[in-house]
Amino acid sequence: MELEQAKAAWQREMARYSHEVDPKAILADTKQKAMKRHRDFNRQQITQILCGLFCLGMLAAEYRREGPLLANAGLTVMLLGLALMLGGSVILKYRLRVSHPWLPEKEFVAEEREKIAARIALLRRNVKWFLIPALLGFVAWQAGLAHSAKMVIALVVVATLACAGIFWFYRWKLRKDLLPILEDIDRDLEYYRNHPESRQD
Amino acid sequence: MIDPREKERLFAETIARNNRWLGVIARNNAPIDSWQDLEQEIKIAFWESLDTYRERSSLGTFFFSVAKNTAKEFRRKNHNARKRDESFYPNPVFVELDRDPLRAVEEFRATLGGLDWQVFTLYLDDLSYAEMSAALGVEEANLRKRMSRIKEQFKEKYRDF
Repeated sequence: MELEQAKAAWQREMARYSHEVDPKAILADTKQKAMKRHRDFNRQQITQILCGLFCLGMLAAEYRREGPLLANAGLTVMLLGLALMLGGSVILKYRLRVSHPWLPEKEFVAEEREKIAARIALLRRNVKWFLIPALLGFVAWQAGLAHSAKMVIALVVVATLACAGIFWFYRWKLRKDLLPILEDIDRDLEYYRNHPESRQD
Repeated sequence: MIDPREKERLFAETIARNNRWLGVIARNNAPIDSWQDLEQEIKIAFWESLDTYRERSSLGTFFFSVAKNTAKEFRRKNHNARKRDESFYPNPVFVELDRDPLRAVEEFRATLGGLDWQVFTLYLDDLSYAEMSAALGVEEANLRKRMSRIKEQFKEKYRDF
């Protein structure tokens, strides 16, 4: 196939797609969709925060002042880990919402990079500093309460499996979703560095 | 914060004036089945950005910056999501459309990088070399050479199409 043929097909498709629309109708539609997007975002965030707080509250209700020290310490560590993961995720979502698409291309791409880097940092921080301590806290909490060695071994196995599952998911998210975008952005930034004459209006 | 009525007026005027370009930007940065989604994204981004418009640049320039950056972000996310999803769920439609020239153009364009991608895109928009040169700030002779190389690559890749 010659490129001219493909170009003609492309232009036929573009012509078919072209249409005149009333700007007032576009305005009304855009306003409505923008408002819906805000509402959906707020609803999602509120649901996530309330669900998180409910779960943390349920766990906190298990705290017994007179209970074994190991169990109380484990529960506290787990609660702290989960609360920090929830807080970090909520704060990041609000931060990522802010966008400045009117900036010059290079600055906008740099801003995008910061956002992706922040998401990657959150995933890594969650695994390294919060998830593993939270699961260890869970094991300590249950081990402090449990009486049989079998029960403790079963809990360790469950916690290890949960940790491995979450770790695998985070890794998959990083490799399939975030890192390719970061590499793409870096290629663009590299291009801007090597071609300072390219238009940056 | 801009006055709400003034914001609506600026939005409607800018969209009316640039509707054609909006379509071109959407078509050049999204696959066929996502053109309208990208148009919508640009309109929403422009609507939300208008709150920060301070008349330091013309509204047209402001609109193009918003549109270009939104399109770029959309393209990046969309491309990545497609690649990820396709590896999980190979779509039979793609097999069926293997011989579709539009799909071929999209596929080929995705293999180009940087300036070649931009030159090819403007070529599809039927811009003359003089117009491309003005838009990209690259000499016409250089553009002709690039375009000739791109045509050869295309011909080679789709020889048995």
